[in-house]
Amino acid sequence: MLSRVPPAARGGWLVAGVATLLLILAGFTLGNYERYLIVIWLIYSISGLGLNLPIGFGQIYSLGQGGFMLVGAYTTAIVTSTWHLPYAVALIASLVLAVVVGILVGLPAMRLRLFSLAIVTFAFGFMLFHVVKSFQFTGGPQGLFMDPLWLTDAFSGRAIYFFALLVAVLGLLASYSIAHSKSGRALLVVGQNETAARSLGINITYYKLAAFIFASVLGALAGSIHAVLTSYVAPETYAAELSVTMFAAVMIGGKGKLLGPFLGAAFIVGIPEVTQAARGLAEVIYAILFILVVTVSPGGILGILEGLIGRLRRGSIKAATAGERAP
Amino acid sequence: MSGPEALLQIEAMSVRFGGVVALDEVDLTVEAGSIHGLIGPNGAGKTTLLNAISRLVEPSGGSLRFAGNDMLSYRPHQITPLGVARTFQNLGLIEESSVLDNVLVGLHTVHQGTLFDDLVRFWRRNRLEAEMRQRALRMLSLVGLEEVALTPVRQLAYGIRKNTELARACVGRPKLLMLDEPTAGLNSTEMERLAKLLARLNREEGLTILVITHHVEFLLELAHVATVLDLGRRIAHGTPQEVRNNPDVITAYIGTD
Repeated sequence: MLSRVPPAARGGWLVAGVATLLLILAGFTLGNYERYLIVIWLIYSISGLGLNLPIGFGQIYSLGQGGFMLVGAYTTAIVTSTWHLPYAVALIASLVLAVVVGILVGLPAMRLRLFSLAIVTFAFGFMLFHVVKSFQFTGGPQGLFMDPLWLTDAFSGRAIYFFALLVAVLGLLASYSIAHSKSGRALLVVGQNETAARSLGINITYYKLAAFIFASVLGALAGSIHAVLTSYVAPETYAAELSVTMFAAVMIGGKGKLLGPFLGAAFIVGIPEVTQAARGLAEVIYAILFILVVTVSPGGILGILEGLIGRLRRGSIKAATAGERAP
Repeated sequence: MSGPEALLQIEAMSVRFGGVVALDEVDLTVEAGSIHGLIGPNGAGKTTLLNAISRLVEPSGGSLRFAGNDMLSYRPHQITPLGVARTFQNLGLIEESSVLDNVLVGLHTVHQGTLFDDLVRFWRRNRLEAEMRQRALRMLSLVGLEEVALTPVRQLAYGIRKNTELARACVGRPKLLMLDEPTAGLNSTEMERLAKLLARLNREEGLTILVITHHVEFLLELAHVATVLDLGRRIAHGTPQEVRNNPDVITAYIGTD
């Protein structure tokens, strides 16, 4: 009677599967600019998927995701263009560095909670921004222009498009795997009640750190793809504002929901496109959305949609609720 | 006192919070296979004692031995594998998750899977998850929760949530189950059902139970032994009947003059 995939997740798989197919088709048919926008969207989605694990499952409110994107982007730029090594090396270096930085920041930060943790992670992103701005080998304030990479231009930009799509799909699969297994459940308990978690034999620091490293790895991957896409890394791109934007994207999309980051990222990319005429309007809309979501619907926009679908279903099928049955 | 070796042995345990003495040289011996009641007025230190056994608070003195282990050398999350499980007064459940998922958390230390299995070795993860799910479902049918297995906890009534927490604590087959006020908020029917269930777990699974409760009837029906705390001290110890008629206990509950 129990199937492996919970009923709520089935609709999600349908959406994700159809979207992936459409995106594959779009990769062949859309023009350069549209494809570029989609890659940017996927980059934010990948980074958001990472951040969704600590925020949505572990209640670890990290405000340093931009810092991890910076690590991936700058590592990629330096390895490919200063050292002239292949992109594969840059990718591995980005991942290794993301893990190392994740541990270095996470180990002390995971002892903190809520506000203190948010401040410490924010300071980390802020610090990295100033570090890359001050040093010669990171290009100082102007940043680094990268050598043209095969991946950037291959198949008139389609290579990077499909690479970003592949990473996003893998990121989603990884998130799903964690969410529906021992680790995800442990992380949920840690987020909800640390005392209960301890008494259930859950090593809190281990799972918090793992979630944080998951975020740093996906953040660095996103940063690396971004560097390849634009062939240029500059401090301003990865300023503290990016961390705030990523945080807001996860919250707006719906924290703890696997497709939430994709929705949140769509708002980051979509709103400036729609409001191109009026400068600054995108930020205002974005801020209002954030405030609305946090105050009105903690489940984010996806939470509102799920609520609506649930209501429609309940309207049509008088579901047999066994909820009130006493044991 | 000879007899079977005690499962849990606490000697002269003290706990201080700043200047407040929450436990003052308390002795407690829980025999394997017994149901042991822990009673006392509010602020007597009952929950503190449970927290000390769970290693959630650090005692300032005394010894704590469980099944031959010196528990004071263990960290809180290392206690569960030794065979100690507990419930809380304010249920520590995952509200959005199903009853089944919540009970699966109780198998955390039994579950052999690692983070690497969860992420990469999905074939191993799926096999282990299926095994654990079977086990959790068996536990759910034992406590009569199989019908709500897939219902999110937040949609359920309080009594069912309490039973979910009980199932989560029992599913890992602990040696010692500690219950903090399992009767609070239950009506008399639910309470009777709980007493029957606990007696059955004790009889059939050999589960040793240490239970805090305010309900004397519940205690008299269920417990083999009772310990009474008042203001951080042990003031009485014996069978529930003996304890009920102990003049010190009556004084502690009703007051003097």
